Amino acid sequence: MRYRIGVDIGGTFTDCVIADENGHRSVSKSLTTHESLAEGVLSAVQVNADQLGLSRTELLRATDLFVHGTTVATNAVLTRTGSRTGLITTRGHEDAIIIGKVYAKRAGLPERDLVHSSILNKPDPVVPRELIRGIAERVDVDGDVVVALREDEAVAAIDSLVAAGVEAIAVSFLWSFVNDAHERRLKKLLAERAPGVFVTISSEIAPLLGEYERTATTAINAYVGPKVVGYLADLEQRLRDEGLGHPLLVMQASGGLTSVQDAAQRPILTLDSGPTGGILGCQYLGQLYGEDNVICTDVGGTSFDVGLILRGEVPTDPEPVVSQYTVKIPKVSVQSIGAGGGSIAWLDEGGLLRVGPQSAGSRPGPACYGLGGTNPTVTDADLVLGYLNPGAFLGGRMDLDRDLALRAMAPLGAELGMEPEEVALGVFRIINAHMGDLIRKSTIEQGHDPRECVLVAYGGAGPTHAAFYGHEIGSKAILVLADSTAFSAEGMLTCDITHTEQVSRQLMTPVGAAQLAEMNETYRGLERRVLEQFEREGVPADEVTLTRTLGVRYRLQVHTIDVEVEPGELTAETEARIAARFEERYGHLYGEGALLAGGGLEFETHRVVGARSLKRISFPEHEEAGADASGAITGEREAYFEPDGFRATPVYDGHRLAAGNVLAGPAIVQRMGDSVVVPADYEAVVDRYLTLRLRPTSTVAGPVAAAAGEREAVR
Amino acid sequence: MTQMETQPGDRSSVIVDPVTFEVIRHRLWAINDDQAMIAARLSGSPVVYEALDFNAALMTGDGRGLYSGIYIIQHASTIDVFVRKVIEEWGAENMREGDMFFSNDPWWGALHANDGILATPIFWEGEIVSWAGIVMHDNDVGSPVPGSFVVGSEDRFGEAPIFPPIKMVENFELRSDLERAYLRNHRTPELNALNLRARLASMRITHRRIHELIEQYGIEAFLASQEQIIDYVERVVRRRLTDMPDGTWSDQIYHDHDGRNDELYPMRCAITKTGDRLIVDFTGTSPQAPGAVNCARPAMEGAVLGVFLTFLCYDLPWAVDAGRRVIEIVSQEGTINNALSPAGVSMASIMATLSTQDVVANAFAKMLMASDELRAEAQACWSPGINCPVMAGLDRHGEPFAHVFMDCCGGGGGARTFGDGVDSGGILHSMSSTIPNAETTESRSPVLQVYRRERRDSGGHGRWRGGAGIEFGILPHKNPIPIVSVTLASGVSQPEGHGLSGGTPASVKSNVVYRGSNVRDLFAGGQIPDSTELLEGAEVDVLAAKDHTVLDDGDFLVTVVNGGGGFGDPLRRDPELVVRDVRHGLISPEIARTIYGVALGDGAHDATATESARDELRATRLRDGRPVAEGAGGGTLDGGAVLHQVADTIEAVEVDGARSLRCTECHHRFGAYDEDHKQGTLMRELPITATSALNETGRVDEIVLREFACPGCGTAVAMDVQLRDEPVLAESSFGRKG
Repeated sequence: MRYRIGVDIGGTFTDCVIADENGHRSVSKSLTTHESLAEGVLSAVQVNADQLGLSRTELLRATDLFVHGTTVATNAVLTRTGSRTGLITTRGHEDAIIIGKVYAKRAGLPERDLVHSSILNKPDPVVPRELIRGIAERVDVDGDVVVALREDEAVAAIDSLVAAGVEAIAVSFLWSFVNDAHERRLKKLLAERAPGVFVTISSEIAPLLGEYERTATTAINAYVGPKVVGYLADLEQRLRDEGLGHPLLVMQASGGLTSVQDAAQRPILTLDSGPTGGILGCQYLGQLYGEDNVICTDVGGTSFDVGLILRGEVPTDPEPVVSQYTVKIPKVSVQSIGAGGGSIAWLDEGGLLRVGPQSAGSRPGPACYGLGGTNPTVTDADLVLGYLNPGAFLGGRMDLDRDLALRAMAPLGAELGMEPEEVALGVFRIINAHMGDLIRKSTIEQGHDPRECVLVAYGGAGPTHAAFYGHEIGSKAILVLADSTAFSAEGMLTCDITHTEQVSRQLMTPVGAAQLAEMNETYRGLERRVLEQFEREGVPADEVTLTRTLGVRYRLQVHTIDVEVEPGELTAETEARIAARFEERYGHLYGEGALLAGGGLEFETHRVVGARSLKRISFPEHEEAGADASGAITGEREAYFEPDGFRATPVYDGHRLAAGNVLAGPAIVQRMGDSVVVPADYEAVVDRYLTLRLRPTSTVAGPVAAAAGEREAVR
Repeated sequence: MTQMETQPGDRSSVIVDPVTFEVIRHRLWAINDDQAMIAARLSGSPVVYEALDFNAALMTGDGRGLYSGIYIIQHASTIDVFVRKVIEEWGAENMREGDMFFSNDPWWGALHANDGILATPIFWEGEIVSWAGIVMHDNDVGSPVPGSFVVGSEDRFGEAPIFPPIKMVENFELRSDLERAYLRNHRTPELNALNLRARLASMRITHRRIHELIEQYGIEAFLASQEQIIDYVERVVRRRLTDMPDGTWSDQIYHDHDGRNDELYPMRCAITKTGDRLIVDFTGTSPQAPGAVNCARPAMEGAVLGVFLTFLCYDLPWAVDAGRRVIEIVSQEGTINNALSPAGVSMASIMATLSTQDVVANAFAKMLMASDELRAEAQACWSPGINCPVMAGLDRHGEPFAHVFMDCCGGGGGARTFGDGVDSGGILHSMSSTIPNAETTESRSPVLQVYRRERRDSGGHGRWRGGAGIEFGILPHKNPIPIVSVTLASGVSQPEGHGLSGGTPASVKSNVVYRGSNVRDLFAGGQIPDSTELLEGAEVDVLAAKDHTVLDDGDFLVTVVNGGGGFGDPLRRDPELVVRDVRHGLISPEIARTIYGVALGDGAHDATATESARDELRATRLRDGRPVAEGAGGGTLDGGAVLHQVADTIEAVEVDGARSLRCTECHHRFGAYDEDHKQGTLMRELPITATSALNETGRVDEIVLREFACPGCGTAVAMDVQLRDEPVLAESSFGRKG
């Protein structure tokens, strides 16, 4: 038997999923060992090996694919424990990374903090002012050299940074993405004078317009470089020592996998890759189900993450924010709010009941954990309402105490004049509404109609809340997956190996012959670089699929929309095709009425993505076994359901359900890692992949999101 | 006197349960945020995209402000004024579903003619139950000059045409006759047509979302929640005010240059807090100016409410009507921030409106100092006013270009009571605004942004220093013809960004052209100027606050956008922080010595020498200062109970049944509780250049810094910026008035 392994390290849990050739899964969840992450990966593998009755070495020898999602880079930035990093930049613009376009003081902050003027601050610098060196050199918008590179100043800057004990150096000059000669020269000088120092130059990591974001990207890549390199080298060595015969692959935030060698050069691409596996997994499931549009919802302990699949594609965010720095790396779009099982309920000074964004975390955690927490949380509310099994939390490894949960609700109840159970219901409704509002923000408000989407729920608390936050969105179906607790790790096993190369080249329509030649040359150059990277990893060009995109906007606008560009030689007809695709997408997003007929276009970011497909894990199909699910009923529990209130509710063993079973609501499905709640006016159907499909029994939908349709009518 | 308060509606009889209320509150907030973002995404204006010069609001059925957005704050607190005026003029009974009303008239609610408002009533079962409105800045709406900020106009007849409310939209469709009439006057009709559709799209979608919300929760709960949101904000704010001591706090700034005359126009503000109410009194403010800098009353109210929302509602929904219920404004018609037609108002949004905001915020900060709960919100003035060069000409391809340097949003944050202001922190009236990359500027206009840095000594000094502003140098580059540059600024003649509790003001702003500079020669020699140090020019041309000029080859424009004011006596600043600031280039060694009294050594300071330098500086204040009022205060007061704080080093105390104000450092008695502590200080006058060499371009001969110090220990407790011969300004006084 051959195996594929996915290990995803998160802030609280390390998830490991192992799939064999037949699609059989082994899933484990262990506490993350922050002191030795590599050790944590190996112990997680050990847990699964035990389940399979194999030794770890036997398992690793039989493994064809080992995929890893790491938070080393993310943690290094969040906790500012990266390397001592110097920055060499154009004289006169040393402060660009500090000024952060002013916007850095609010970038990435939750909206409720944005209006609180007295608490806003710039990010703690990843490069302190003392380690920034401006040197004389200047290139202009056309790539013409205005001031020649002063090599004497470059050498002095390098030597002084080395003397200051830096472990990494970032180089970012103005307009280097148009003319990279000065940066390349610095790279050479650094190799000579600062061997052993981790070096990143901006024209390689992010050759894109905008010196602030480009410099921040370069600096953060350097800042996390030494740590990520050390960690991955150590892990790969250990796995190899234990018998792994194939290269380790690493998850990137862009949604593709890459080699350890590439991640060691561009470690920033692993930053915030956490939610990516789940979203890519949803894309694959969408293909299995024939669904092009998917809303991916992940409810964890502290946050609620929403991603999308649109027309089968995963939208990316070209300028994600990392710890208040805006960077230019391709990253799967995810919207998050502080809403999860650990979110704390509180009363504000106006006497209003509020939930989150503060979280009780895992220690002491919700009051019902009995670990000393006294704050009432969403998990406490779920327990009070009867949705969670007190004796079977986390697969029976933890007991939950309903009395402690009630006691935690009581002070709020006293203030509000409500019984503790009523408070719990309020907390439940409020958190569901907040989640629903975020989904609306990610879909309707971006011009996407949720009625054309299926909603997939995963993460520890997703199955408990999905029917409630999904209800008012009016999506086609709500799917709760069989392995939803470790779905992010599972999703990583559905990904391709990808490499992305991009560059900013500003062009205005109409595109003349000279510009067309430039576009052709640009795309050929990007494709060459992508293929060279694959070649270094031993992948021949004919196994790589190349995709071109172009960032397009109306003249005067700031934000671009990515449109696909045809492969091969671009011709005089190309411009019209690009314009048509742009207008089609623009009209879809903002309404036909927003189109500016005859408005000139600007082209900016040229991008090539190369993908090499891997054989995906299969999701085994199960035989239909009829609608009757009564055999899976294990008993009853008092649980709260509209309109009756607390009532005896059947509890099903999720692992005994069979394809074709239909469960009438209200019902609770108890599974190893979670609890699926089926509301009274819902039913759950078990499909051939053992996914629970929740759907309302009456045809009266919630307030269906007609606003998306409205948008099309705007003229 | 005019009451701002409006009467609550009569539909609030239903009490919504707290959970439904929270759910509706959150949804309305999301709807409000999105109505602005939809329009911004569709807009083609960089001013909308980058400076986020737009905003949106939700209102009750009778036009009371319920939610305003987080973008340019004054905008959102004028939309409700507009809606109430529209209801008054049209009559609700004459409105239909799908009607939308438009105006860019500053006397109807627009800040200036560029800010077109579109608002729509939202019906439910034949009754108006809510209003939505949006305002956006259009790049050009006509007038003799591109961009419609008319430097040189005498009155509004020399400015862009203004439209009192018109029913621009019927049955959700634009009325093409009115649209044509409106766009006919504009230089950028296509862009403005796009922006008009952006507003329309936003209103339609908002309309739909409000309907969804009502369908889901019912009209009763919706109407009741609207009332309860306003009541809730009002309740919290009134409680916050009640817990503060009663008193009056004052400030004055000058607005310099009206676009035609380089005059100083004083703007005064006294805030009186009594119980749970505020009176904002502008008595003493200059009559309206014969130029384009005035603002009409709605903009002034917007500025007042903006300050109210920022400092008292930092954690609450921005329900404008709650502010109107607790604030009363006293203002004389015909003044610079309550101007009557036909006053020139084309620059209102960035001139009198911002100066109003700044003077009100300064007085507010003094008030908040007395509150244990809200002191953390008190801040010295953020980078005040504006300094915005606007350039036009032909770009390197020979195409026309016009570029607004949004670098004007790069000023520094005001010092906080617990920390420094944010360096290059931005502007108070929009925490979300941004400045462009130099590469973006250089790709849109034929210039090199040779340098842009946080500017040394551009922020105010103090125990906590104001955030540094920025300085940048612009050189024409590959421009086929000379570049025309218009300057839109205030605070060029005098330091306008005041300090708090003895902190010094931020520097002046400036625009200086080095005619025929040596920058190209420096380039050829392998040098890049990153300050004015290496610059030489045939002529150094200091531009006025509002000015026109032409940049020829080699002319180098250096612009300073100043920082925020400082907090507390600079002699109380941790010397280590001063050493760090000097190392970071944010404070000059000279200022470290003369203002902070820090004896710099090699990478550190000499503690003994610093101590004696500081003693010497305090002794100088005591020696050179003269009593503001002979016989005021005096003696020391030990023991007793501290009632509350007054300023960084002043507290109110009760000793033996008598309430007084005393110094926290030496217990010197400034005076009785209900007297202005400033009367009990020693004052000396300093040249404005004392706090920053940048102030050399200001009116050095006419404007002075007035430093007020404790007669007991020499600790500075206040600093004012004034014309040399003016009487001393009031600072604060406690106790219930009238």
